Amino acid sequence: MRLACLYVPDFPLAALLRCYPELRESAVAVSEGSGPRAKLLAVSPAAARRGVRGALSVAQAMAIDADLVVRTVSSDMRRAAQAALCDVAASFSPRIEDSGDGIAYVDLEGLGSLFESESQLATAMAQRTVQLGIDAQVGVAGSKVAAWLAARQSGGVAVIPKGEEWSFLVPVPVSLLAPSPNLAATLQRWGIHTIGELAALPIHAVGTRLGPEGVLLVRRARGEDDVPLLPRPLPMNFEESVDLDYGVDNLEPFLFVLRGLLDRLTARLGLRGFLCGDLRLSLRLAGRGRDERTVTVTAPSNDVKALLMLVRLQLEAHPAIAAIEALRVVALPEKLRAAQLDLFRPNGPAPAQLAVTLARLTAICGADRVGEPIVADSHRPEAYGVKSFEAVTRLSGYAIRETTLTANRFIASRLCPCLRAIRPPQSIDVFCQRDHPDFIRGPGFAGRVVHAAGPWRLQGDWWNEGAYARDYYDVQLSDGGVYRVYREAIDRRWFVEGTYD
Amino acid sequence: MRASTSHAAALRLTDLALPGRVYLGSAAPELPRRLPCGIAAIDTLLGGGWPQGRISELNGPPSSGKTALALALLAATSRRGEVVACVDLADALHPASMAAAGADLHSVLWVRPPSPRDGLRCTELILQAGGFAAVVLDLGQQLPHRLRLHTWPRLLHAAEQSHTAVVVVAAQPVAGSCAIISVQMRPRQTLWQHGLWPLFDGFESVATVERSKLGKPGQRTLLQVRSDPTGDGRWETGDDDLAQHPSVEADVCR
Repeated sequence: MRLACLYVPDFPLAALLRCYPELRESAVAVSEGSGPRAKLLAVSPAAARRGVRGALSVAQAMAIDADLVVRTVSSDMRRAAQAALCDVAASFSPRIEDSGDGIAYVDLEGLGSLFESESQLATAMAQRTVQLGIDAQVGVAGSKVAAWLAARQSGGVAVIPKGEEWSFLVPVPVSLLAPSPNLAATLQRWGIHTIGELAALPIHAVGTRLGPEGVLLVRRARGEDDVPLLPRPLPMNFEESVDLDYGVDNLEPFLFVLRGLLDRLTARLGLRGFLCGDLRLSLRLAGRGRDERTVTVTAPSNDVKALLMLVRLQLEAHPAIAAIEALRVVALPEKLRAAQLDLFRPNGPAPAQLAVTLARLTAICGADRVGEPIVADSHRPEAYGVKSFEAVTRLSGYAIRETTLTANRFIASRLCPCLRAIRPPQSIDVFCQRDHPDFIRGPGFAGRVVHAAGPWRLQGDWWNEGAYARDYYDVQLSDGGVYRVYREAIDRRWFVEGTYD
Repeated sequence: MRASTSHAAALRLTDLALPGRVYLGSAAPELPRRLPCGIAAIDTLLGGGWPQGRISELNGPPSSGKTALALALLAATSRRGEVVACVDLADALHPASMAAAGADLHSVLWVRPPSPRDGLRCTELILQAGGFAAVVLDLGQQLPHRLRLHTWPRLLHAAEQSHTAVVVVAAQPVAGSCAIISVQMRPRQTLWQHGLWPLFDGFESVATVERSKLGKPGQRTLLQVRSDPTGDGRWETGDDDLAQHPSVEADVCR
């Protein structure tokens, strides 16, 4: 069995730099808490060059380097970095083990046909982690502990050929096995400095003197795993969060921060072969308030620009009531579905682009004024309906009404008089002769009735409060226009419903 | 000099087995593709249909048939499976009329902007999205005032980029020189079914090409906009039978 270990040194620092890539060249330290007495967990190479070491307090570190940037890393940031590492592993093999704190193991069984060599495979893994903003080291060996030691020892990519684990491990310092301080001091006293020296010790004698911890250490020194690889399916958890230094009450800086989160999320989704569906935003507001909202993504996409525009439009329509201090984004993964295009049908708008356009149109006009017109299921003449424009999903290949389209192609075109609706129907003055309209004066038009057809009585909805009873007429006025007018049967008032055009 | 040079270049191309026409200074003007509306008389009048990637205008007073013509374009295009849009500034679209015209409503995006300025912005957004075969911008009877000078050129540029046929329906021409063709509808007579119970049956209108950058203006045709006389779902196309209408016979372009 061949295994690869993805190992991220100084994991808290890596998690921080993944969220704040602009700090990569700066002197940065990660503290375990806030306040001057908090201990440093990890320091960047730039900080180390200035003399800052781990385990110092923040105050001590600041005394050494006043320009040091000290940050804390939230559990959400660590979790997201670990999830990103596992996403990289899962992009190579479904059999992976998430060991936490910047370590993941991958079963390399069956990957030989995809890569020329294990070295090439390990290099590809390392490159993919860099794409997600994590600098991971990769080790390949026949056991978990050997792969882990190889990754820690290498500083980049290391491949231990099959059967040569022992020769690789012999000169490795025993400190890489991370023994407890007491055990490390004992081994130091005994003069045990390398893994080879430790592995040569008789395990029963070590157990008598050092207890179970010593036995475990010797077994690991011999390249024996404590437990075998335990592959588990990865949860579909695509979540990124960030704590802001100060409350943001302006849209542009907020979107700037959000862009980074979406970049990371879409990169992870892309690695797993998913598209970004609906976005759930959880905003922590100044004054301990929270704002939870869902941004609907009609056409799943990994286009950050489009996703950002959808969030922008929603925030413009419904802004947060206070400054935003922290942000968490959860993306719902959607399977990538290939759209089967029709040879004889033209391509429509790109679904992602159309979804953004619909959102922008909705922001300008209102939700009830953008969509697909529908003929209302009602006898009321002015009834109409609008529903969401489903061409987005249709173009995405979710449902294709081929039968309808094919049938429609053979219907001939026609010119028929169309009604231009006047919404709502406008009140008009009608002068009648023998109970028939003779002269009409309405908003923007007036004239003597030249021709008239009607009346015909329409009544309905008598079973509810919207009951109506009307006498309809089609009238042509002396100005040339043909109008549809009606008279309410109850109050005898006249209205114009539209113009034939 | 230019003629001789182009002639020599053409000969050279022929020698290379690549015969073709040679243009000096600029490429040959590319004629826009056409989007037929399915009404034979109108498609003939327009030289094959409404120009794609351009702005066209359709003007006329009330009850002249301009809405019927615009809906015929949307109906024919949507029936071919293409996506169309109607930017309805007047909020006058009657879905039942559109369905009666034969449109596939699932392929129609209906947008009702609150103001003329928003209407033009919405039209531009739709054009920028791409993929729409036709966009009808219905301005209604009220002319949009105080539009910026660059509004129509921007719309034209967006239409060119998306290869969308943009038809502006208004009472009067509004797009100026940005419109490649301008069709004026004039009502001729109203048709009524006489009898004991008279019914409105439709109207006859004359469609005239008032202005065109693609051909000679002034051509016109007679259109009958009528309700379905048969009631069996098979519709008559607009008929410009010259023999029945000698007054417009001379001007009809076949």
